[in-house]
Amino acid sequence: MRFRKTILILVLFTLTSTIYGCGFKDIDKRFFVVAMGIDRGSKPNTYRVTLRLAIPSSKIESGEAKTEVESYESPSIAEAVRHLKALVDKELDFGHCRVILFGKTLMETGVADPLRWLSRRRDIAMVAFMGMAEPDAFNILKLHPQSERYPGNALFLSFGSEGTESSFTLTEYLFDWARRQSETGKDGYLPIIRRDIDNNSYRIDRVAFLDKQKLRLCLEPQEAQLFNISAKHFEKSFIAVPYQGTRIVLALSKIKSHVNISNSEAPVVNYYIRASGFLEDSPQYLLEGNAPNIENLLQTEFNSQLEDLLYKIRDAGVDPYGFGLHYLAQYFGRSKEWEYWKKAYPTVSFRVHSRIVIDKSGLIK
Amino acid sequence: MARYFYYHVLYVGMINIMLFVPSILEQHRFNGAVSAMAIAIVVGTILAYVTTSLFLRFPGMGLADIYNNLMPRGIAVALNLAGSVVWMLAGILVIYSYSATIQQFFNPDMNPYLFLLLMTIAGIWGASRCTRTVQFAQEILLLLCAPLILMILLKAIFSPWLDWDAIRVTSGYVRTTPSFISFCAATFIFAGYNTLAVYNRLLPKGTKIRFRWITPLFCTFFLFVSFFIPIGFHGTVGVGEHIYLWSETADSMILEYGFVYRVLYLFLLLYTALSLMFVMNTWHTAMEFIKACRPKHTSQPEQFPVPRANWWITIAFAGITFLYSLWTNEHRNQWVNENWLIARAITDFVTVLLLGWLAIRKIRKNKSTVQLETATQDS
Repeated sequence: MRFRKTILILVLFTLTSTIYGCGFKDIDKRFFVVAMGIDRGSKPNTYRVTLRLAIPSSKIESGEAKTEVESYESPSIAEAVRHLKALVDKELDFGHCRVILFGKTLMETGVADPLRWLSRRRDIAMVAFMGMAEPDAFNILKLHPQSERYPGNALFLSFGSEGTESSFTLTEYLFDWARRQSETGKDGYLPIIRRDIDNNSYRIDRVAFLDKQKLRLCLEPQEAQLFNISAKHFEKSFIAVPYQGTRIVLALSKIKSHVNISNSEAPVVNYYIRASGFLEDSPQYLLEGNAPNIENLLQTEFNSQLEDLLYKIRDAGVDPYGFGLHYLAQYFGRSKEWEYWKKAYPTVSFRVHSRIVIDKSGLIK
Repeated sequence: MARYFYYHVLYVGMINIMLFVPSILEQHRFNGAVSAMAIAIVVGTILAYVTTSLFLRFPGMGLADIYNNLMPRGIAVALNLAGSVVWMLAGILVIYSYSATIQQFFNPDMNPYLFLLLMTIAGIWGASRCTRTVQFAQEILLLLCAPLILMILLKAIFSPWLDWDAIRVTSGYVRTTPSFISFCAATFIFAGYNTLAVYNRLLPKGTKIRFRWITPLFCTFFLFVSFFIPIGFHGTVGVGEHIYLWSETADSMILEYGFVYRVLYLFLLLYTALSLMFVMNTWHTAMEFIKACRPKHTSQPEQFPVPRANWWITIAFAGITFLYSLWTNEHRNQWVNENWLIARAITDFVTVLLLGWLAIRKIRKNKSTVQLETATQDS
């Protein structure tokens, strides 16, 4: 018995001697960073870091969410964040930082350093959303949409599948972007975030492609959707074709694709895609009897659109689809095959084989 | 009681993350890890099968008892001490790695020794129980956390963000010559059978361990998952950059409609239970090895209250853990981990050879005594 008591006292003593104060700070002594923007500074080789901080409030109503935007310029991001601590009264906490934006000018010069900072920080979630802000991140983060119920949630809800699911909006996570920045045969993409014309909401309908260093190509909304369909299999999208003076709009509900790359002198990328959906807009009694014709029409239209897009992306010298990686995977290739592919990619030709099935015509004929 | 045996196989397969096994394999992913894994699957399966069969030939005896009974005293003590060092180090390495991970991801301002203290106290208490209690605690802990760990793993496997092309590119490196350290690391995942070194005491005569094909199946699954999933999430090149490889991989997943947004926190919580379980088992085994060094030691897998020696030995282990954490840092820890994995693989082979030799000798002895008896009956 005495032995046990001694042990207990010993343990309690050591426990209390280590408790010298908690490392944790209370929640009301913390500023939660909900979004972060990184721009190029006004001087060369500087960064302008903008943080959007959530101010907690008991009122949860649209437009009532309060945020504070702080910005600082410094030669490195780490220094800028440390300086920003001097501009606020509470401890900064990046644990809830769910959106990270890069300014367009920064993208044009290269983003290797910001990426290193982001990967090194333990409290930056690898599932934070990434985006490119146009014209710059500061202007986007300053925007205060009326629809926000929680600080910053208008921006979160645009991505992923929590809020709106638009086929023009591409979602990119930090971990995916980081792997694309270093992967052989696969390049990164970022959704472009702009202010809407009425300055009251965001507009995220374009996509930017970058090679390992910097920005190379920006796509128009229509092309961005095509990329979303083909590369990301985004299912809530549509295909539209003109038809005898009106338009046929097919809403997609299921997309599958696979790629086969021939191992010839000039490689041919065969892109097989199978999509099915229902008609959302079409002339009356269109499907009666001539569904195969309509499907054919959609297929040829889709094939030519996608081939054009693939050639455009190839000519910009980027590979967001990861054809290079797929080539290596298909032939279990190594550095020799990779050298060959790098040389061959600018001349590679694409063949899209689509199979588009109209499941139904909606509620009316 | 085959199910208790498989609990050990399962958690050892899962704890490999804390012992740098995936990190070591990823470092060699382009020069010999994949082929080493392929060999390790075959070797690990054979070792698991042979070792369990050999242990079943000595019913009710732990490895230490077998040495004590069938070998010269000096050699038996030396082997027991060597075994205790290997087992104790396993627990220490896991505690240290886990508390470093926790400190890194939960609160870097925290005093690192505070968490170490909490973990070692739990380790002391768990390991100093009698063998039967440890085994039961094992079952409860594993049943609590295995479903959630399995959920995270399946979530990773079926994630649309998992890049199967990267996995396929890496698996193409199976044609390289295997590297020794990757082989040692990969065989660790199959090492669950080793816990029979103590728990064999609880197996009565005539026990059969059925469904032994489960071991290679589960362990191969864990081996592939812990190697290929990080590649799928961080890419063939990016995967080499991470220190806390699996924590980062868990962080690349979302529980969209769950109450915890980042899978990371759930993952770390589950690994608390798993690490404690591992520490409890390894320290208990190491303690039993040390206790077996006393002359006239008799094994008592069920006793209450536990002898004082249990407390003192495990407290000594905790002390060594603190000394280790004072001495070590990231690089030294990795170095120790790699060498520990090599040492463990070697002791594994030696144990099998010794056990095989002892088993053959036992059979011969039995035969000769039977012949002697029949001879005396004849005369």
